[in-house]
Amino acid sequence: MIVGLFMAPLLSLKPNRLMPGDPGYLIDIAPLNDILLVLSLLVLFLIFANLLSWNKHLKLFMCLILSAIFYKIITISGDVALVRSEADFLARTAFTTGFWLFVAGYIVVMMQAFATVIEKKYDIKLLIILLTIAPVGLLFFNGGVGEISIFKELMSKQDRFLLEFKNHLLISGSASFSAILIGIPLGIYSFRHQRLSERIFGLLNIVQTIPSIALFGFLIAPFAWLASKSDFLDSVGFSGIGFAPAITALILYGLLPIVRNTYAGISSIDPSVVESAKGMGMTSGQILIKIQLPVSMPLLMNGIRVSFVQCIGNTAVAALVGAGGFGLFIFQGLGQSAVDMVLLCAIPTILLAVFADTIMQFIIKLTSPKGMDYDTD
Amino acid sequence: MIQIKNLTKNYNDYAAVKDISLDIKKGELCVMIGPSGCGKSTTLKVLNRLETPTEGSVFINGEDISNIDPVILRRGIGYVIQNVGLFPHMTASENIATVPQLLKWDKNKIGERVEYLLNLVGLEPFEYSKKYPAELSGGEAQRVGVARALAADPEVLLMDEPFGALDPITRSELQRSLVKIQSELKKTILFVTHDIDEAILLADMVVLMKDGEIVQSGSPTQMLEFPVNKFVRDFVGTDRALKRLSLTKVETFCKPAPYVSLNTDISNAVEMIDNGIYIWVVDENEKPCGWLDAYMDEPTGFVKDYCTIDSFENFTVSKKQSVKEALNKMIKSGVNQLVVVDGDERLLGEISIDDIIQKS
Amino acid sequence: MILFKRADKKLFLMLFALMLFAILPELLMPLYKATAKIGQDLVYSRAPILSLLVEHIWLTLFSSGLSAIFGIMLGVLVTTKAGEDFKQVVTMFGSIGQTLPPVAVLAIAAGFVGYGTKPTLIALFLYGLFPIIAGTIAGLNAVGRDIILAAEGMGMTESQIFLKVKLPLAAEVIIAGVRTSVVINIGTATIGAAIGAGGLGAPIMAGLINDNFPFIIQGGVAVGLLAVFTDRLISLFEMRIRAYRT
Repeated sequence: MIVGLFMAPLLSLKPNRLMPGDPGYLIDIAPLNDILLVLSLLVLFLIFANLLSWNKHLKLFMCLILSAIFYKIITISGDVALVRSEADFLARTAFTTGFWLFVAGYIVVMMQAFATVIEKKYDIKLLIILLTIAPVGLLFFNGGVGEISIFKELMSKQDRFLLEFKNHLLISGSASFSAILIGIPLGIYSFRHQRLSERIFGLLNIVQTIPSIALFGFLIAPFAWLASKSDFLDSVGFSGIGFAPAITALILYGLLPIVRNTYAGISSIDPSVVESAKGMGMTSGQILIKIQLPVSMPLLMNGIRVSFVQCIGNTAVAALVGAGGFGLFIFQGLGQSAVDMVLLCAIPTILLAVFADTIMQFIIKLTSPKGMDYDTD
Repeated sequence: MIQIKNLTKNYNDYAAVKDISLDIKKGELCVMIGPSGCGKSTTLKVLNRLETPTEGSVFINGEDISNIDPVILRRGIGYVIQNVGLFPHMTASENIATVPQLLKWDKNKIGERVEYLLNLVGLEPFEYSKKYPAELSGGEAQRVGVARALAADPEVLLMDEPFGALDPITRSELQRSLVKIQSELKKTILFVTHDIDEAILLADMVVLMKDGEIVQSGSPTQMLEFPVNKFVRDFVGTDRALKRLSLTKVETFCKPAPYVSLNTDISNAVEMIDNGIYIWVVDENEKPCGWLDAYMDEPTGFVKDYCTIDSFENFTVSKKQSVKEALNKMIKSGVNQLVVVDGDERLLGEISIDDIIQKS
Repeated sequence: MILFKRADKKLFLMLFALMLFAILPELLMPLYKATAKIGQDLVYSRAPILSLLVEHIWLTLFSSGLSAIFGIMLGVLVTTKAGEDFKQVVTMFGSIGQTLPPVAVLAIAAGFVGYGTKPTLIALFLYGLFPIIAGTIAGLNAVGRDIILAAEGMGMTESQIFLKVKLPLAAEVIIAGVRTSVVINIGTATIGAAIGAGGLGAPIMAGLINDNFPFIIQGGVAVGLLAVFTDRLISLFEMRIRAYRT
């Protein structure tokens, strides 16, 4: 019943109006029998939500109904878009507030439902994402949906979209990878040299605190200067704008979570464990590899997770220094007031970050040593 | 086996250990005891080079340990500490197998060794080998700790307050286990504790330390009987007479006692009581089963018709038990004497409270 | 003032440097001259740095203030008995929310609300909510069961337990959440310049577009100092609470 209360405001916020320049309300644009179908599904959903919330498995059923509504709304929009674009070649039909509110509500309900059904958190996110995209994906090839403006935008920019997607992954991936390669040894180093560790953390903390865009900006001049001074650097494509400053800044950003968690992981080990390892005749290298790193693995991996997810977000900002990636479209779209273009890349960026987070959570579970309970959230 | 010569350890200006010399013989369990900060743990850690002495040297098997690579040295010395320090990401078996693996033993040999050691420390291998430290109780964890220290069959074992963090019941269980293990393996053990009862129970030799110096060393009995000064007297406690009794076996005070069999004619038995007031009664296996009081009106028949048979375990004590335990039983049963039996539970004699008081 | 005693020197130095730079960005003139291309303006002239700084602070304070109020309220609500059912969803929301890229949130807000200060404020408010919710829940959850039991045993009422026991004990973690939120918002507000929110992002954006490095430095130094100063200010506050508690 509390679930029902929770949903009440959500549903009242759901006018489902589609706005093609003029606002198009669901009631105005959809055929009568479709409206009736959506309404009856909604009633059914509310009954399930209010009366049957005590049954966990029925909640899943409730989600299915909601998915059906989702599906129906998209088809309706698709049909409208098709009709309009047939009538007028330039006409565009875009999702707007009502639709997005519905999507937001949809995600919340799904999360709520799955949270009670499945205990393991990392599965849920993945499932919700899949269930949310699934209808869209299914409908993508179905007549009218392709005529909705965001998909039209995607079609027209398909190649660039894929290229920037690759760029985004490449930049985030290589920056994170380098951050791991530098961060873990630095974390170990700062554990072994406690005095220096304060300075290292102080410095990294300041780097993290400086807004990303400022950091990117700061690097432009020194990099341009370096490139102008060194023919070699210039010849390998090193310059004031583009990959070089972007990746450098992203690495600097990515360091703190990794270094901090490596340090915290190793520090959290009971000193008696290390003492007994030493007393047994392990060399300091063996202690590191056999004891300290495996035991601190969950914390360490969590640092990598935070660093990686953050890096995906920051990569979007890196477009401002000419590094490419989804950020390029986002800022271009913002510059041209092209909402569809912005959404086309903002949504995948979000999905990418959430997806990376989910995958990392999963990897953390896999790499955590058995015998140790560890919760990453 | 272990010789400590003029060992001194300073931390900055503070002298933790001052010019200590000590010999520990092979197979001996030496307990170092003293108040906290007396330097006992530091001395122990010098032995596996976790601490470097400021002055002096330590010899193991005649070899100066400062000439041995600490890593090699430590692999040959078992080390047990108070907080156990089991590796949380490894099972009990993997923990125990650590040093043999470092020494690159054959896999099968390691497996056999682990099983043997789990049995030795009183843990059922089938049940415990796959358990992680988080699933073990404190006592079980320390048993694994002891097994891990013994893994590579080191000659020397260093134990730094190994049972200090355990509850009294678990502690005495582990102490008994250690006594059993030591009687089997005869390792050279240096054991640090601040618990005098533990020291008296386990030690072949006790070394009492204070402020980095040895105050007295010797067998537990010596320590109890002839404390060299007030510090030792205070440390061993005002009940040292009682503590000594815990070191003395019942057989020391056992004297022959008259007894009759269950099937003896009662009149013969009465004659045997004669100037006493009671006589022990044994069954056909010479196992004591009751007693006969002297005051009877015109008895006829056999001993078994008159003998008082009670739950007789309350009145018997084994010759191997400590006098302290015998005294305890007397008080509990409200009697002045107990029957002493040998290993086969046959009557050996009796022990009386008067003898204990007079002779000790 | 008792709250800030020892480490203040650095803090005041930072504040001083920030104010000085905001009033007199010409201080770094040699650097501008060295990095500027020929014929470029050396000092951002569309608005004085000081007014941009004030704008930036206002943007962050307003949005973070709202986030703090709503975030803490929400966090507190779901840790009470009445709100227990929503705890999991809200916790999950907080942790997923923190993985969202700020640029994307900002861009989507601009997509719906249009350009200017309004979408920036909305995005900052929403985005700032997540760390505060997460911090509040984590902080309140971390209060030991025994402590609450002891308080109940003393006869404290529910609200007394909350005000006198839970909240003071959770304060440190809650404030850490607020700090994360504020620092992130200072950074996100800078990007807000891309959708016309003004603030210190404006010179940076202008510099990036026109390849004018002095502009980038002016915006970057000011916003960097602001972020570092704010971070330090709030973490000092955290430290005081910790010291006061132990």
